[in-house]
Amino acid sequence: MTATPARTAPATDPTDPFVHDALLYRDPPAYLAGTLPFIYDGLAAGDPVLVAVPAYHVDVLRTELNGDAGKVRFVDMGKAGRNPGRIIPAVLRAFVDQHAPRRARIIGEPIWPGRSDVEYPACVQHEALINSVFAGRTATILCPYDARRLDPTVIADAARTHPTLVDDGGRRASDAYAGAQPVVDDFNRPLPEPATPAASFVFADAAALAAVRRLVASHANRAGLDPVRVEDLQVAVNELCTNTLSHAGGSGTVRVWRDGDRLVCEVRDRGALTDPLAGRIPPPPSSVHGRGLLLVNYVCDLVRIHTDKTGTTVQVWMSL
Amino acid sequence: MADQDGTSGRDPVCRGGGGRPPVVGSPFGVELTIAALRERSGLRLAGEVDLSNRHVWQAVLHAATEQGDDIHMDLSDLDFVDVAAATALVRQATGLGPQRRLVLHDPPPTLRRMIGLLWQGQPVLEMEPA
Repeated sequence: MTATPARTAPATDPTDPFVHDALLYRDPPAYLAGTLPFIYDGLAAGDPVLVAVPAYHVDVLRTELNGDAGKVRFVDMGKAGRNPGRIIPAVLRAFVDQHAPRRARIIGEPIWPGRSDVEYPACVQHEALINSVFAGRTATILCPYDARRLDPTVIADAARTHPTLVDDGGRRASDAYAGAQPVVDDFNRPLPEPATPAASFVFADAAALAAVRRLVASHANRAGLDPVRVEDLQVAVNELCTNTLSHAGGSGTVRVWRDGDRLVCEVRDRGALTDPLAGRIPPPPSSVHGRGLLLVNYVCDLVRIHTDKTGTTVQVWMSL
Repeated sequence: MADQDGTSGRDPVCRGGGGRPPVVGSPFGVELTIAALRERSGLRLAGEVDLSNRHVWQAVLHAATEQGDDIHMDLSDLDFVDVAAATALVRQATGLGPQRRLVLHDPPPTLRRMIGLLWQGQPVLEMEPA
């Protein structure tokens, strides 16, 4: 959350049908004034409307919409979007693709005051990547930001990730808009170090994967992770290690530790992860590859990635 | 340094010391047992499938689809499959065309979840119980 560097905003293509607005609201009436007309306009046009916001805002909007609530698809972003890396494939693209070629109208609220410091960089990268994923698509995404309770740096970041801003003063182009890659790069930061002593082990070949799975399961079981989620975690770490062996030319290190009420598994290798959209775009049905990281995003509560010239580190966080 | 926790069954091997993380491995690798079904055309596959034996899994699936009509797979003792193994199953089922079916019997819950998440709305695989 550093100060916004001086950058020339990339020219937005006026013919691009994709619209990505940040709604900077300061109180509940302003939230409703910014969201309800958006919803009603969509319904009046016969367009599909998705509201993916935290549960407390789902409740507010359902109540306000009353008899029209049934025409809107609601998603609890606190669950569906707890891992920001999951939002594009599981929430946004799923809806846009399902209703194409109609204009999908989406209220997407991935950042709220309860987001933790460890989640936040993944949230901003997600917001930035929306711009590249949906460029050229017939869709409108409106992202509400609580400008009173969120840190001013968060609002500054919203101005970098959204081509247009909406507030009491109306709708205007964002001078700070930076496009996807610069923001993704800015938040490509070293990941948190273990809060408690970590179990650590090295794997060097495919024959070690079974051992990695058993060690991860043993630590997860001991931490009290739900048995179904222990299996999810095994699958996720196995995919990360398989990527290391298949693409990063050899060995990697797994670390497991507990951070408060969360369990963290980390896989580190010497490979480079160059595609920021890896794990966010469902591949075509005929594709053999491209589903490992996608599944990791689907089943984990948080996925954080740091990659540079020396290697790539992926952390997956599971709530206990 | 060896981590002994909960590593029942075929224990992973941990070698290390001197403060460096142990190198883990398995003395046996993973085990995948394959048997023909007696009562109908198909296979019983038990054990684990990952990168170490992916080629075996793919070869077995390919051979199984060369013969017979519908193919049945008893997966009740399949303990682990990775995404690539699930992808191979879906691809084999897709390749059968509309006249033949690939039916998974008692697939492990993780495989069901994986298929549900990654191939939603593309019901090429039949699973029993549904």
